[in-house]
Amino acid sequence: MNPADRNVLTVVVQEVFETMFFTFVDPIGEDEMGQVTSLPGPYFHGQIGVKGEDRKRVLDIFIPEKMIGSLTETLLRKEGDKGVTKEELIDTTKEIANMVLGNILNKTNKEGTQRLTTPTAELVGDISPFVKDSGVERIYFETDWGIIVVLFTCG
Amino acid sequence: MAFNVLIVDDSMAMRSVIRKVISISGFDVGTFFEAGNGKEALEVLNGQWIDLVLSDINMPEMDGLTFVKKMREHEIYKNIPVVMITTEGSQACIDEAMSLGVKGYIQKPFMPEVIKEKLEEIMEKTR
Repeated sequence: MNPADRNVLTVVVQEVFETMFFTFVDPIGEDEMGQVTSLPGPYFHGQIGVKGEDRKRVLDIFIPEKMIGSLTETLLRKEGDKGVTKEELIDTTKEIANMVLGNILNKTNKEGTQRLTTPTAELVGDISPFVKDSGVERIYFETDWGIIVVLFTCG
Repeated sequence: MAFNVLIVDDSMAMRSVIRKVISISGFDVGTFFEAGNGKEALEVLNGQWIDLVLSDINMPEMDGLTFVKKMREHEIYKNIPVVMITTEGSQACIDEAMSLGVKGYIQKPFMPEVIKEKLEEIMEKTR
């Protein structure tokens, strides 16, 4: 990923979390990413792509389960014994993926006619092997709940 | 006079956020109605009196632009003010929405003040 694209992706992820959830996420430098050897999870994995263009572009975002729980409580204002459901956690993950990729497109190709696919999300466990072997560009963000991983496939 | 609001978004979290932003902004809302896509929204319109629609674009079954097109074809719903709240920010999408006569186009993520200001503007014009 060239530095400009990496910068856009980093800024967009930070903007989404800060604006919608009042939560700060710190990008981990490329040099330091190698020190992250384990991503044990559980994670909520959101995925979304772009339709209406020749090349394939897909965004995968992995967010620690506890973080999604906290963000969803913030969005829905649920506290105490009114716990959030798995469906609500998946819903929040999909919306985050949607906002991240949508804003990347808005910043990089506003004149385009591309549209977003319908996002999907699921709860997954240890993502270390998947992330390590994915062969696609990635960015990590440090948070109070663990590390967020963003993968961007551009074929 | 209280007005009824229809929020159309496939994300229940986003519907909840929008509902709360409007509630705490001091607008005199009679009832909030919600729909998860354009098809469901048309069903709500068919059974309820709605004064304002806030709609996402990227939704399953029927997207927001198709929904607004169908509203505009209907004698009773065609003049209801619509504000799009969406991540879709391409100029083509904005142009299409504007050609359908939407009163506002808000991109996610949004600050609560943006929704408040847009609704105040619409309410002022409809008084």
